[in-house]
Amino acid sequence: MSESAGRKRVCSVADVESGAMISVDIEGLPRLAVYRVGEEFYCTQDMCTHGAASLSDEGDLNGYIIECTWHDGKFDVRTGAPCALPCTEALRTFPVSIEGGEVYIEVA
Amino acid sequence: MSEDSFVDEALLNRVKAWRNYFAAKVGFRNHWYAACYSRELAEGDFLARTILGEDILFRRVGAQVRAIKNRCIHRGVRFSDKPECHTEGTISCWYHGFTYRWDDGVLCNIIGAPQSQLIGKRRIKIYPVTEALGIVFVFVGDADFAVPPLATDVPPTFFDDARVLEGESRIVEANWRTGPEGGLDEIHRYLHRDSKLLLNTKATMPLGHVGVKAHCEVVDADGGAKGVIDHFNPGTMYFEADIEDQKGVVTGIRFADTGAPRPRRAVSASVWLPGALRVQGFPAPDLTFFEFYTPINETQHRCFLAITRVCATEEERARFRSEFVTRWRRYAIQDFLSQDISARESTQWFYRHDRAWLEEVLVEEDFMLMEWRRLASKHARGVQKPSHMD
Repeated sequence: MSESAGRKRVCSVADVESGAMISVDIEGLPRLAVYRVGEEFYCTQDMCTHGAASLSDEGDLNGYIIECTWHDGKFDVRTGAPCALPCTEALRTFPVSIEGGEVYIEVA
Repeated sequence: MSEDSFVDEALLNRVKAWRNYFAAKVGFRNHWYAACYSRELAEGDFLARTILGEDILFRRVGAQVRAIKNRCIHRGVRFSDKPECHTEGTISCWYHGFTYRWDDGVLCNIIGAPQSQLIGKRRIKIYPVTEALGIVFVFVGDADFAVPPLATDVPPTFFDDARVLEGESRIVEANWRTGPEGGLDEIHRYLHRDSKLLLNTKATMPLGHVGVKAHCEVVDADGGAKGVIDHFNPGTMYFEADIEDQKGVVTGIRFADTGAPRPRRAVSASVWLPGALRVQGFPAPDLTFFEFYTPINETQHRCFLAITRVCATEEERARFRSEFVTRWRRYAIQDFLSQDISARESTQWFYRHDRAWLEEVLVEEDFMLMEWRRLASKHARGVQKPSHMD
C-alpha cells in the first residue's frame, strides 16, 4: 500500500505515559511505536530491524534507548540509530510535533 | 569464558530476558529426565547413558531400576566396561573391586584391599529413578536437593487414568534446545507439506498462517508443571504460495470437504520444563503425542517419541498397540517426526556457535519461542555447568 505524505495524527499526549510507549496503526504505514521520554515524544517503526519483534510489545525503554528483549539489541529513539548488536540497521523515524494535546508525525 | 559456564559470559550478558536458557547448553539441573524405555531394561540388565553430561549406569534390580554414577571413585574407570554385581544390592568395580551399595552409594567393600579405612567412609553418587507409562525417568541434580514429584516435570495429562504409551527413541545430532523449539515452532508446518502422514490421516496442513499472540498461554503456577501452550486456532491460513509474479508455486494440503458437517479441529502443541512437547490430537484425534528431550552433551540429545492413548479395555490396548506398529511407527515416527529431527540436525550447524542465538533472525510468529525461553529461564531449578559433569 503506498504511503500518503503529510501530517498525521497518531495519538493523544495522554495516551502515552512518561517512560512508556505504545503501538499505533496508521493506514498506509507500517505499525509505529510512539515513545514518551519525560515531555518529549518520538516515533519510529515498531518492528526491530534485526528480527520481527514488536518494540512496543517486546521492548524496554530506558531513557532514549529502546532495547529489544528478543536479543537485547538497542536503538536510540531520537534518531533510530542502532546502539547495540545484533542490531545494525537504523529504525525508520518520523518527526513529531505536539499541538492541542495531540501527537502528530510528518510522513515525507 | 567464565570458568564454570558453557557459554561465554560476554554473550550471556547480552540476553537478559532468557539468560538462564542461553546458559543451559547442556540442560537444566535438578529436573527429571527420560533415560530409557522400561523394555530396554530387563531384570538384571545394565544400561549406560550420558545425561546432561553425566555418565550414569542403570540396572534393574528386583524389578526396581537403580542408577549410579558410572565412574569408580578410585581411578575413574567405568563400571559399564565390565559390569560386576556379586550381590543383588551392590555393584563392584571390575578393576580393584571397589564395591558400592545401590541403595545409598556407600563404599561397603574394596575386594582388592579389604582392610582399607576408606570402607564405609566414602560414597558414590546415586540418582533417584522412577518409571511411568513404560519410561524410566532419572533425576539429575544436587544430592541435597529436595526431589520434586515427576508430575512437575512432565506435561499435564501424561498421568491421565488408563493412558497407554508406545514409542521409540532417537539420538539427535543437535543441541537439546532445538527439540522443544522445533515443536513449538508455529510456522514449521511448511516443512511437513509433503509428509505421507497427511495422506494417511487425510489431515489438512496449510503452508503458513498468521500467528495470534492471544493464543499463547503461559502456565506457571507454583507446584505444577510449567510450560507454554499454543492454542492454535487458525485464523488466516495460506494454502498457496506466490513468489513475485508467479502464482501458486507451492501448495498446502487440503482435503475436499465431503459435505457432511465436520467439526473443525485444531492440534494444540505445548512445551514444558525441563524439555518436553505435548501435542494433543496428534497423529489422530484420539491420541496424544509426547516427546521428551534429554540432553546428552552440548551437541546431542536423545528424544523419546511417545504416542499415547487412553485405553479403557484390554481390547483397546491391543488395537492401539497394533495400530502403532502398523501405522503410526511408519507414518508418524519414521516419516513426519523424522522430518523434524532432520531439520533440528540441520540447524545445529548454525547453532554450534553460541553467537547464533543472538544472530538468528526471528519472525513475528516466533513470539511463542520467546515465551518458552523466558519461562524456562525463570522457572528452571538450575543450570547444568561444567563442574557438574564427569
